[in-house]
Amino acid sequence: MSDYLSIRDLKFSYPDNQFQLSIKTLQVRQGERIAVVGPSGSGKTTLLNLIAGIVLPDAGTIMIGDQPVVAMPESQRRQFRIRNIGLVFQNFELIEYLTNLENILLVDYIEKPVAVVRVERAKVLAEKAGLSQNLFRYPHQLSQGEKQRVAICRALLTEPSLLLADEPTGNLDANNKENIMSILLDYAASNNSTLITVTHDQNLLPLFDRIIDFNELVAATEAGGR
Amino acid sequence: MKGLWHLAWRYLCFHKYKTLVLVASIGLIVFIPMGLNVLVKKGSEQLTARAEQTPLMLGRVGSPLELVLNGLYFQSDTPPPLNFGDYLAIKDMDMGQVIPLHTGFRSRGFPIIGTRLSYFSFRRLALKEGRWLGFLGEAVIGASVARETDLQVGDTIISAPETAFNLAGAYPLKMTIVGVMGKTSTPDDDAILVDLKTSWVMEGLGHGHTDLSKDDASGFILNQNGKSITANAAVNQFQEITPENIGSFHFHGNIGTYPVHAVIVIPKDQKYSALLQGRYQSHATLQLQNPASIIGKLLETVFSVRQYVLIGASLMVLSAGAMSVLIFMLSQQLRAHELVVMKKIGAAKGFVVGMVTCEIVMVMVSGVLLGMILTLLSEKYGLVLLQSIIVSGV
Repeated sequence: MSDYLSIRDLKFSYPDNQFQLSIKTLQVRQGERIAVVGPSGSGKTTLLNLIAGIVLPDAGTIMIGDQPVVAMPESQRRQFRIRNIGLVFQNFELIEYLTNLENILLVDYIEKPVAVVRVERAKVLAEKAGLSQNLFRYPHQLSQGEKQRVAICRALLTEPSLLLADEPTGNLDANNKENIMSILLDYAASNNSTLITVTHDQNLLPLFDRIIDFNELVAATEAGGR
Repeated sequence: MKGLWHLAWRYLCFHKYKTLVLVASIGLIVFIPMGLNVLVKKGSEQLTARAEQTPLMLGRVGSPLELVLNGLYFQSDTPPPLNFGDYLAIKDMDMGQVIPLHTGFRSRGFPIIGTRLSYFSFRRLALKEGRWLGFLGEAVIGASVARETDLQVGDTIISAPETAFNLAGAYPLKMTIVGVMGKTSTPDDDAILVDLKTSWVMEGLGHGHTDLSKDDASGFILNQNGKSITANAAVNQFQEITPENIGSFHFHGNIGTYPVHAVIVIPKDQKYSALLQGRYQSHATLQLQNPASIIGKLLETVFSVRQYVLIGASLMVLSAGAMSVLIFMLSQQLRAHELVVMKKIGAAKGFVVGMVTCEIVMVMVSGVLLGMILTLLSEKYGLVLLQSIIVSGV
């Protein structure tokens, strides 16, 4: 398998505090399923935001496929994110005033007129996730597990080649954790998509191809720098 | 672009109560100054129109405003009466047409106006059904009276007793409705029009009773001295005028002292108008007023009050506007996280701004439309309300 995601000499700092993130190198292969573990506040979410192009590094390169994320103009980066990257958040981040179907289709509302074929895809995804009965209800009418499944359907709508999940099971009970992870892992496996999941849950780690200890990733950078 | 409007619309629908409050606030911001202007303009036009149709009005010395409001709109307190002889006097001057008005009675809350047939032609009133007044005890009712009471030609209506506990006073009179007038959108719609003499019967000045000159009436007679007959209390006094008993109705005393509350005077021309006004200028017991002038003064007061109302309304509009802006700003603060999520997913900054702008546009347009609809409604239906407020307020 070839490298799909490649990070080199990445440096990032927030302007208003002391936090600094440096990663010398990180290579992820196409279709690889990775768990990122590490203490809270170490920068795992920031790493996902950097990969997605939501924030930009002070230095370094991020290549997804053959596309240099950092070098892209803002609008191109945004388009690239919409078409290639699926995002799953710990707190689901559903829009309360949209129905669950509309939440799944949110990317289309943002990007272009909603096509019938996309509505059909949204319904298929919802059916696979066991949400068929809840499509026209609102997020506040769902359980935590159902909300996260809606959020995953939203992330999968565009059939992304890269899935970034930030503690997707953090707010779920044991049953829902397994269910949610199996949806993400199955999608990655069946579509040869790359999955990078930030998690604190040790029980889930055996499900991944590779586990990256964030502290070691950053320490290697510091050691290499000296 | 379509998605932008869709998301904005869904947000407004989901927060329907907040949206309704905002739309209502903006609607009121638009309506209050516009509606007030329309109401005052239309109200003053209608008040002025009826006043200008009535060249002069004669009445007993007292409040000119009370005389004019009562004589034109049948509102306000009944002014002190002048004598029918005063009406005859001005009529004899032959300087124009004169129409007496007796406004002292009511039935079911509607004024009973005793007048002459010339009133109907003067006000250009038309019948919707039935006929005009022909006999004593008949009534023609206005369109609103007919609608609100469900009365029609052939029904009867009873005058409210003015002196219910005075055995020597007027008794209620049962009148037959012979005509229903078409709608005029004037106070005539709310009036029950009768012949002046019918009003005098209600006053107790005329009555009908058992014919005491007949042989079978001897049981009622206490004393007879020539033509003068004194009867006991058992004599039957009629409370309804029918074809059978109308012949027995008669009036006592000097008709010249009978009351009328106002006399509409239509001089032949400006010269006669000036002459008449000159004649009554310093009259000890009578006043001759120009209704248009009196209503003009009343409206001046209304317009001066309107300035203060407009200042107050402007302050209210500013407050409501500031509140609306505050609500928008606060809701944007509350939505900051949601908007960040949209940006993370892929929305451009312009998209988020556009979505919020769409929401503002929809609320503003709805509010302005609401304000305009309210203004149009007030133009159509608010006039009667304003008129009653102005008249009853005075």
